[in-house]
Amino acid sequence: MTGHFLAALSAEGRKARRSKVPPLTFAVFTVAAGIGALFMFILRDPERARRLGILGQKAQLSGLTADWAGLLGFLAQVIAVGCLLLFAFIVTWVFGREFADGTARYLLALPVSRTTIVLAKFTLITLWALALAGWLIGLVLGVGWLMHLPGWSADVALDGVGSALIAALLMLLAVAPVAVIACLGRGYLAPLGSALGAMVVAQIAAVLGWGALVPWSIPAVAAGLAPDAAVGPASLGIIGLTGLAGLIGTIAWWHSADAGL
Amino acid sequence: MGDRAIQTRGVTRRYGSVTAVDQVDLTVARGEIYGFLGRNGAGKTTLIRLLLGLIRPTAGTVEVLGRPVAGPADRRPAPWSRVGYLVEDPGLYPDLTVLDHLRIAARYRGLDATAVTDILTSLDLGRYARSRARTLSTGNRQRLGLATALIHRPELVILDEPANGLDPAGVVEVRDLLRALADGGVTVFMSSHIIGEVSRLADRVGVIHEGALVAELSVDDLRALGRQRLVVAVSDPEHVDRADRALRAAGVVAEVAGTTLVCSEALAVGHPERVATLLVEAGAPPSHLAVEREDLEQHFLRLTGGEPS
Repeated sequence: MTGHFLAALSAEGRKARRSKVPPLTFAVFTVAAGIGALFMFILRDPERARRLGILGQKAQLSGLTADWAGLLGFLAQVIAVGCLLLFAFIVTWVFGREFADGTARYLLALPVSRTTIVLAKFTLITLWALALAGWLIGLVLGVGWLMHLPGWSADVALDGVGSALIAALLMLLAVAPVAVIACLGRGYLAPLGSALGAMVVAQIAAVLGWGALVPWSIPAVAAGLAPDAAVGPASLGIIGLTGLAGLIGTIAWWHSADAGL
Repeated sequence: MGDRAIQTRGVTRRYGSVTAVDQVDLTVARGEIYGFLGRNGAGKTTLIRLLLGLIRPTAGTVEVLGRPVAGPADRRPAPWSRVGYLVEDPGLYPDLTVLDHLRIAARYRGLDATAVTDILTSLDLGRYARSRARTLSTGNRQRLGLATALIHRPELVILDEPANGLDPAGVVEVRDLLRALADGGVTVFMSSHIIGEVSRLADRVGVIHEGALVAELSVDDLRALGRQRLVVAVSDPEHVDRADRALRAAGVVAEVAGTTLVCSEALAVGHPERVATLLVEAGAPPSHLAVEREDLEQHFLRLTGGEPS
């Protein structure tokens, strides 16, 4: 079992390494960190913000301040919103490509347990997502350090980074069902559509004050983006069950996978 | 374990009201090359999927290398670690190189780098080792599919259209490779639309039509197909019985299909003018009478009533 798992994980890693998709996801978060740097640059000098017109106005509207607390607040926003789409995109690519490339049949016929293959895919997704979150956090910290932002303290940094990491982990659980949709839809379109749908649901839930009870808005609540809501045991239960449903549903689909592949 | 590599008993697969495979009893002996012919949609690929346990039969049983095939989710190493397969198009990852594909296949099978080197050499893929799958020609994609099917030196290989997309030299290479495998004791079960290839390579040929196995031909049967036969046609359907009775009275047994009578016996094949006279005298004058040689293709067409696929 361990040998097969490592073989499956190695195969998944090789597929990812040879593809342009992983660098693309890192590029997206690099751009996000760049936007954060631009915001800080503008917000640090209001006169310059006014001279920049609309861009300056939008930066003001972001509600951020040009200090470490503001930068880490921006990090929380990117994690809470960006990770929903980006992690869902990764899940879609890892599972959906097997159908788009016509390789699912090959995997299903291997003398390897299908559970092992699914677990290897989820492990790759977890490692990839954590590396992305780490990359973004590292870039944002680097931006703050290079810009000599005021308000640094170990507590502020630990609080901001800790919230971001927790939000990223929770988002990983929230997007697990996208894998089931990729398998049922046998491609890319259905899971990407479902990710957009989840984002809309998350926004509506946040507006209605149900953010702590909807899986796709719980990470934003955990990141501190909803001051009047808090993550409680019910939130953790809901998001945990969502992740479990995604994993078990995907394994169940692979076990029942039959004709038409 | 027995001397059978594949055995199916009454295996049936239905999709709703459509019966894709209908009560097929099939036995393939170890070391045999079994060719499988059928038109498009005849049930070839469905049967191959059943053999590989990719789909579950609606009825009947499948045994591969002495082990019952349980169903899609059962991927226990036995018997699958001893089976190589290529189903329809080889499933390749466009971004991965030839070497990547073979390394992955080797890793899944617990093989070392030697296996990769060996298969690269034996399938002449060495010069494409660093090429990404998306840049390969159809023939080389097929070659890579075969390489992943054979990398672990399986006891049984199940191949769906192995010569698909190969140029004439590639077809000969694959034929030689499969013959060498069979000489080494490997059982080969292959479907193909290239009837000539099947007849040249196979020890036995099965013909599937509308889901049912309608004929099985041994090497002797295949050789016999090359023999001459007398084909007689009568224009009036009512004359068929009369012609058949006249031939039987003369000691010639004919196979009747519609308004055509086929005689394989030397008595008829050697003396077509006597048969013509006999039929005219019997009141069943032939509209066509010729000594022909039926090959596997013609035999296949006669069995399936259409174009081969």
